[in-house]
Amino acid sequence: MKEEVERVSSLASIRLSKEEKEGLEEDMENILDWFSRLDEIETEDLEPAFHPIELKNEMREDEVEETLDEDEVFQNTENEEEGFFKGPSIG
Amino acid sequence: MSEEIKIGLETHLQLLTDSKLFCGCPTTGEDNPNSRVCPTCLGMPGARPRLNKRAVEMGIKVALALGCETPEEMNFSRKTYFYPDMPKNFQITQFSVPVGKNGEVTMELDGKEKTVRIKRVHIEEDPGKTKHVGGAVTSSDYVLVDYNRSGIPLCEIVTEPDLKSPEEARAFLRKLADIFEYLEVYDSSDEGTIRSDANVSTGGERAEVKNITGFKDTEKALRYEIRRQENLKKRGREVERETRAYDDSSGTTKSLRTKEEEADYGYIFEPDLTKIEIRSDWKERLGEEIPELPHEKKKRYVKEHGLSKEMAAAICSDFDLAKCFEALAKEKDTKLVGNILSGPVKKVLNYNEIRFKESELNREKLRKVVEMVESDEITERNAEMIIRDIAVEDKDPEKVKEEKGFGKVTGDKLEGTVEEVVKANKEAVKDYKQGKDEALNHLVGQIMKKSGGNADPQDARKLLMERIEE
Repeated sequence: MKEEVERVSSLASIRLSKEEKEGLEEDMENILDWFSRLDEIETEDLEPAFHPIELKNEMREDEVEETLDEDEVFQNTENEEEGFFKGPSIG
Repeated sequence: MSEEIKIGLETHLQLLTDSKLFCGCPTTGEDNPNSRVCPTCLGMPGARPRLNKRAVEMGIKVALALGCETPEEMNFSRKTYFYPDMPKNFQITQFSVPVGKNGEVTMELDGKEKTVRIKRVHIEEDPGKTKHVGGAVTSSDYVLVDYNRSGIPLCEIVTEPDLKSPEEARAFLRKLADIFEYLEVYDSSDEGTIRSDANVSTGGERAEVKNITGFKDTEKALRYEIRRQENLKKRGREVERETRAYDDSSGTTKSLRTKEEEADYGYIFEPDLTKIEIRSDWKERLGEEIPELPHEKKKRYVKEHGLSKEMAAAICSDFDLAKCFEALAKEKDTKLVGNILSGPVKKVLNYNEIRFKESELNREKLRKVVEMVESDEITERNAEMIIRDIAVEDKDPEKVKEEKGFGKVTGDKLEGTVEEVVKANKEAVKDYKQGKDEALNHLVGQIMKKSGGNADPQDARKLLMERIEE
């Protein structure tokens, strides 16, 4: 499970401390164990469920709508620089 | 180059819609960063995608035009990855059931036909654009992100590894862009909107080269990558299976240490969008909207208008030029129109690296040029000089003709010039009479010089021979 936690954290670009990793190993073990119960269900002759409601072809016309103002764009963040969002470097 | 070269392309072309794929933000307009965004394309919690019908229809048309099978029902999927250009941490794309599968594109290179198999066609959203501050991709302090491109509709075309050389890859992309242009789903004037990833193998493992923009760079990037792989082999080393990035400033490819494999993307169906059923009546209607495609047009020009294959190909590789040809061919001498459009017009467009619609040329101006040639006011050579001028600047062809002092020398005036030249070059006339054919060329040259280049060399030659044989 240790490797699995490391793989997932690296895919998600989240750095974890040693303690966090240990805690997550246990959590993930439990989660995967719980979900593995689904494997016991016989699904051979069943159609895959795509959506809880049978809806089809919900589309909109190609029309331009209103965009956000600058203050609205950045209202949830402090990480703004010259009109750009600031993000972490990808190393 | 090795016989074993195999190249497969994954090419993205921007679909020409007014609004984005999953929201109503405009696809063009203001260029300030983050000025064309909304909660959906910023990936804000709770915001949902609403699918653009026109983009779907364009995707279906592309699939049909490339001879693909289209599914009765298709859906969209989430491709999960964590990168600042994707604020919701997944890209909405098509995975298990794309809009098209198993098609083909036939193109021509050096007079030979070549068919490239198309594996799949799918519709997806573009991510945002990142700018690295204080260093390169991996060494920068932080990134700045502009989400104006986030949600721009793209059509991705994936080929089988059927391409055998960088030249073929370039010709394929050109052909693909032509087809998209004919379908009116793509703006060909911006080469930046055609982006490819290429899988390249030279006999061993294959490397994937990412982020190649435009036609020329595709050829350059592939040439570099093939040379790199062949040099490795020469030194007895193996080509590693890896992902590399093309760097357009140095023209080289560099290894990217990416860890993701297809399975790591954790594709799931996008639950916020419904299935799309491609009903037969819808498909039929879209099929009817597909115009005559470049290769069909080319064949017709040869058959109906008597153009040579080369002339037809030159005209058909630019949709707006072809439209202009068809309009003028109805009113004027088809051969002459074909000559001028496939010759000087195409030459000046290629020279300036622009498409017909980006030039200052239009049907009216070219009609005038054709009329001036038809009525013997100017020579075809004069026409070429005029076209060079009026292609890049909005000028009246007749004014340019006057400015340049063009005016075809014909009739009495030409006869007069012939007479003068014959009298002034008695030696050359004698030589010609004694069987020295090159003496005639000299005399024609004199006539051209005297007429300021405004005589038709063929007319001059004919008159000259008549005069000498008298």
